[in-house]
Amino acid sequence: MTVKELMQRVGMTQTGRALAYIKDGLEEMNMIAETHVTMDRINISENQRFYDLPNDMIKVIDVRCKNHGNAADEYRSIPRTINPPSTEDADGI
Amino acid sequence: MASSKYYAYYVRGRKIALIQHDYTLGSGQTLSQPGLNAVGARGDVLWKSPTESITEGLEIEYAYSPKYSITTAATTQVNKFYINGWTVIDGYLTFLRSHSASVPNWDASPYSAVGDDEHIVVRGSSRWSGLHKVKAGGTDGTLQTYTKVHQSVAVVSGSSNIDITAEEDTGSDGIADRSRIAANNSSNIWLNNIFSTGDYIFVSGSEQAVNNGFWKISDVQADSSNEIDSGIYVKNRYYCYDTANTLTTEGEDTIPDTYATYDESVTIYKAYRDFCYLISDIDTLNDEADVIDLPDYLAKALVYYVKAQVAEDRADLEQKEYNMREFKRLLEKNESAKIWGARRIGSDETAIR
Repeated sequence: MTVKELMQRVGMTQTGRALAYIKDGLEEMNMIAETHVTMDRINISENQRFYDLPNDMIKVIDVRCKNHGNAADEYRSIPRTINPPSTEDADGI
Repeated sequence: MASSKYYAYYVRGRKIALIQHDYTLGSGQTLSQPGLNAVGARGDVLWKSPTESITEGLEIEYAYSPKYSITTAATTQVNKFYINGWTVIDGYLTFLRSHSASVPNWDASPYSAVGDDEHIVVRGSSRWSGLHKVKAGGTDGTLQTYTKVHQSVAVVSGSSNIDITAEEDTGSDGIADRSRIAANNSSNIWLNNIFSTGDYIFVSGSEQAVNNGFWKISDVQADSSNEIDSGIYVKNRYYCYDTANTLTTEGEDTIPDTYATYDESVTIYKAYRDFCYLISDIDTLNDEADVIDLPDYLAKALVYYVKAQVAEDRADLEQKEYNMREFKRLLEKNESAKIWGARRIGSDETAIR
């Protein structure tokens, strides 16, 4: 479906407003049920604990690390901790 | 061969915190594989930030909104370009690319494939993965975007008053180990106060191409009453390959190679090293002719969503609620339509049969 077809179904004439609502709708849709999934690989840096989540991310589906629980360079899901470690680390956290 | 590791994560704000279990205690005792309950008052000393750097070590799978699509297959040095890091210019996020002895011109082929006012998608960045719009590609290796960064980043703009020395061999072992950058006296530019050891900088505007690029500060001079004696030393140079078949790796030159130039009008940006890549040829959702990247059934759900928003603008809350209900109903029907047959739970390999 094109943007124009959607505007006709809704009865809208303002393209900018329609595009804004469509983008909102696409986000809402992915929040409820994932329609588009991708993955990104980030370099792990020694002593760096925090990594920004991708700018276009709406919902995390899985977090994997290379060589987690294996030595075959496989990416495996890593567990989420409930409590962060209380000891301070190199990056001051 | 790589060794087995054990990671865990938690989320804080928009960041993911990655921790690694360090098996070795101070006494040198090596522990067996830990359980998650080791993250507690007694076990937390074993959990640390990652103990080593791993290229592409963290993989995040996530749902995103299809506001853009990549229309052409990503080919390195055609529509996919690696970058060494980023800085902030005039408040805007700016990506930086360096070569082994120069910096690229984003207005010349093949880099001109990334045009001004076009969208790009960044992948593999520890901070900026996602969609950005290019403001201007420079001839000095900088690619400025429209992404605002609420962060102050040091920059020094020389005006015929920055000196760059040729590489020095301080150990007299035949191997150069540093080059010095300092400002002329009376310039009131004290580089040793602006930058610190370990910082990354991006130098642009030197008349000698080899001086420009992405450097790491190896040392700073002690405070002095003269600007010329209050400079910084650079050693390691980080760069992207542009011709070799190692295009996907970052080059690191640990032997500095610079050319002595005096009274230069160079610009020195504090930079952040973040080797990643960007893709051009992005089609964004921005006009009536664009196709919404959704299956037909979900496109109908989207119609209900837009109707709900329009009704809300009219303060017609009854219509808004009706349309939102239909939107969610179609989404749920779409989800359940993917499930076929009886649902069974597979027994674990250790289960009693």
